[in-house]
Amino acid sequence: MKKRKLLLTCAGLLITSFALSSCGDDSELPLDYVDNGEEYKLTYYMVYNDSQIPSDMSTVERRASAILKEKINSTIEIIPYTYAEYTQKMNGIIATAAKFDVCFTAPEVNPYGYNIKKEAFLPLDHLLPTYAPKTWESINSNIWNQIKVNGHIYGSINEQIFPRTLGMRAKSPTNIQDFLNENYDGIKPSEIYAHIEDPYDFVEEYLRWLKLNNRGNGGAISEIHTESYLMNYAGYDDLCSGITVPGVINISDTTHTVVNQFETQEYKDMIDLVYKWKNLGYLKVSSNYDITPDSTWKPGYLSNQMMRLSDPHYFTTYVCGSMNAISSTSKNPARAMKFIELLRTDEELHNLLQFGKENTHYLKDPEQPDRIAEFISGSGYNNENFGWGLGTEFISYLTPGQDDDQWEQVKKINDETELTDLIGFRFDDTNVYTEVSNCRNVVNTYIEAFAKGEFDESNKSSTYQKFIEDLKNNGMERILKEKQEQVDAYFANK
Amino acid sequence: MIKKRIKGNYNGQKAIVIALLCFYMALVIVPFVILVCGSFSSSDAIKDVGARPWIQGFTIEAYQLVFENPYQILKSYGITILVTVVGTVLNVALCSMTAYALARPNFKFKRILSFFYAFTIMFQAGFIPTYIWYRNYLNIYNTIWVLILSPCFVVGHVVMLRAFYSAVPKSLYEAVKIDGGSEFRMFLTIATPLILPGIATVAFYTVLIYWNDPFTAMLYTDDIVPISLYLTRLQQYIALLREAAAGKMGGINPGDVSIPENTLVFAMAMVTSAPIMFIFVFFQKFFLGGLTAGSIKE
Repeated sequence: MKKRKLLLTCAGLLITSFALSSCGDDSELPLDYVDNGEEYKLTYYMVYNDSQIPSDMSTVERRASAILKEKINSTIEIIPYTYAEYTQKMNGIIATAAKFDVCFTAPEVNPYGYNIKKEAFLPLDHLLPTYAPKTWESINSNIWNQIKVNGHIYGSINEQIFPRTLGMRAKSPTNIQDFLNENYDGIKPSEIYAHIEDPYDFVEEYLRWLKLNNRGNGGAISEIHTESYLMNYAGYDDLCSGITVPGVINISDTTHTVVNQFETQEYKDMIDLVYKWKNLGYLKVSSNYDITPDSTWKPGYLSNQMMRLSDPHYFTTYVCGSMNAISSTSKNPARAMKFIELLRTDEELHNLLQFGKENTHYLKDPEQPDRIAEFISGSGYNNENFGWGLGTEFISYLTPGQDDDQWEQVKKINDETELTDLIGFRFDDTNVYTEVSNCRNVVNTYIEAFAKGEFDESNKSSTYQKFIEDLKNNGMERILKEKQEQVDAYFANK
Repeated sequence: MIKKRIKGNYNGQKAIVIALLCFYMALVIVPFVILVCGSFSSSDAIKDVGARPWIQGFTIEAYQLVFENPYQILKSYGITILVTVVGTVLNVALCSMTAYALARPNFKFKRILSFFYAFTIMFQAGFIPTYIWYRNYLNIYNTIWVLILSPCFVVGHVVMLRAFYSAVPKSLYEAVKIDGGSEFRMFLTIATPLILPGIATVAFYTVLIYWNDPFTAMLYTDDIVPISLYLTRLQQYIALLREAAAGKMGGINPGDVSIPENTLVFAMAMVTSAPIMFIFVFFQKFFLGGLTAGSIKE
C-alpha cells in the first residue's frame, strides 16, 4: 500500500513538472529588434505542395543561400513539409521550442490564432515597417488590422487575390461552351455574371440543359457548398471565425446586426433548393459530376471551365488566408523579416523557391522572359502550387496556360473591389470558447447532410428544427451576444 | 496425410464442412483477385461499372504513377526492409526476455513491472510529449533509429508470450537449476525453443507493425521515407487535389493532370502487401504449430 502511494506521488510529480515546464514566462516580448549585421543562418519551414517532399532540395537551398549571402549576409536552411503534414509537424517543432526563424501560417494550417496563444510567433508591428517597407506599404492598413490579435500583428500577409467571387466549375469545357453558344450568344464563362439574374437559377438552367441534351452525366451535382452559398452568394461575413460558428453579419447591413446564419431565409432557401434539385435528379451520389460547387473564381484559373457568377467581395476570413510568421525562438528576427521582404521583392529568390533553378528544374520560354515553357519532370523540385505562400503571387513566372496579364487582372480586382467596413474586425472567442467548439460540432454533424440532401424529405423540417434547437442548447445565443458586443465596441472605437 | 484422412472418413457431414470451407475461402480470395485485377484495369472502366474480379481495359498507368520515381521507391523499400529486419529482431528479443521474466514465479518485481506495462496500455503520453522526448532528450529525431526504436516494445506481445512461457512445465526449470544452468541459459536454450510457434506469431505481427507504419516516419523524421509513408503521401496529395478540384481550396490549381484515382489505391495496396505475402508463406508452418500449442492443460 505504501509502495503504491509512493508510486502515485512520483507519477503525479512527473506530470506536474512536465506541465509546468511547458508554460512559458509571462514577460512582455520586446517589439524592437536590431540587426547586428553578422552572418546568420536562417531556418525556414516551407510548405512543399506536392505529393512527396522534393528530392532535390539541396540545389535550391544552395542557390538561395548564395542570393541571401549577397543581399543580407545570410545563409538558409529550408525544410520542406507537404501541405497535409505541415500543421502536425509545426505543432511538434513549436512544442519543443526548437530554434527556427520563418514559417507559413494560415487560419487552419499551422493555425495562426492558436500559435499566438502559445506565444510561438513574434509581434511584427515594429519589424514590418522597418525591415519590410515594401510588404508593409503594398497592403491596405485595414487588411493589416484584420490580422491583429490583442493589438499586435503576428504575420506578414502574402499577396494574392483577396476578394472572393462566386464561381462554379463545369467539368467539361465543350459542354459549357456549347451551352453558352446556344443560350447566351457565346459569351465567355468569365463574363456570365453580368448577364444573369440569379447565379443558382443559371446553374439550374445549365443542369436542365445537360439533362435535356443528354450531355455529360445528365446534369449531376454532388452538393451545394454551404460556405460558398452563405458567404459569396448571400454575402454573410463570418467575422473571421469560420462559417461553422454561428454569428454573421451581412456585408450590406449598415446596422451591423449579428444573426445566426443557419436561421436566415437564405439558408432555408438553400435547403429547399437542395431538395428541389434532388427531386429533379440533379443532386445525386456519383463519381462523375458535371459541376462542382466552388467557393472562388479567380482570373486565369481554369478559364475555360470556371463560370464567374457574382461580383467580388471582401470577407474578413479570406484576407488573412496566407501569412508568414517569425518564430519567437528566432535569434535574429530582423534578419528573418528582411528575408520575408526579399521573398516579396526579389524575383529570382521567389521563383527559385516556387519553381526551382532554371534549366535544372524548368525551361523558360525563349520569347517571354517571365514565362515558363516546360517543367522538367523527375528533376526533383516543383513547388508550383505554393506561389500564394511565398510573399506574393505577383512576381511569379507565368506557367503554361496562364494569361499574359494574369497578375494585373488579379491586382485590378484587389484594388477595385471596395473594402467592407467589417474588414479589420476580428472575433475573439476567448470568453465563449466552449460554446464555440460545441456549436461547431453541432454544425458539422448537420450541414454536410443538408448540403447533400441526405435526410429523408419527410424529416427535413423536423431535422432542421432539431438542428437549431441543438445549437440553442449548446450556447448559440451567448456566442451571438458576445459577437454583437465585440462588433459594437469595435465600431464605437472607430 | 491430410488427404488420406479425408478420404478415409468421407461422409455427408464432411462434405458439407468442406463445401462451407470452400465457400469461405472464396469469400477471402475473391476480394484479393479484385484487388489484383483492379490494379491493372483502366480507371474510367472502374468508375463506370465498379471493380470486378477480372481485368477491364488492361493498363499499367496506376503502377506508372506509383513507380514514377524509381530511385525513391528503391530507397524507400531499402529503408523499410532495414527497419523491419532490425526492428523485428530487437522487438522479439526484448518482448520475449520481458515475458520470460514475468512468467517466472520467483521474480521479485513482477507485480510492479506488470503494473507499469498495464499502465502504458491504458494511458499514453500523446504526440507532443513523445516528440519532445525523441527530439530533445533521446536525440533520435530524423534518424533511422526513431523508426526502429519507436515501435520496438509492444506490451500486447509480452502478454501473449508470457502465457506461452507460463505453459512450459515448471519441472523443466527445476531440472535445469539442479544441473547448474543459469537463468539466461534456461531462457535461451530450454524455454524459448519450446515456444517457437509463439515467437513466430509475435515476429510476424511485429513485421506487420514495422512494414505498415507510415506514422512514425511522418511524425518523427524530416527526410526518411519508408514505402508506407511514400504511399500515404501520394494518397494525401490525391485527396488534396480532389478537394481542390471540388473548389474547396482556393489556392491550389489542380490543373488538367489526369490521375487514375480509382485504380491507384489498388496498385498501392499491391505494392505494400505483395512482399508481406511472401513473408507469410515463410511463417505459415509455425502458425500451424502455434494453433495447437497450449491446447493441453496440465
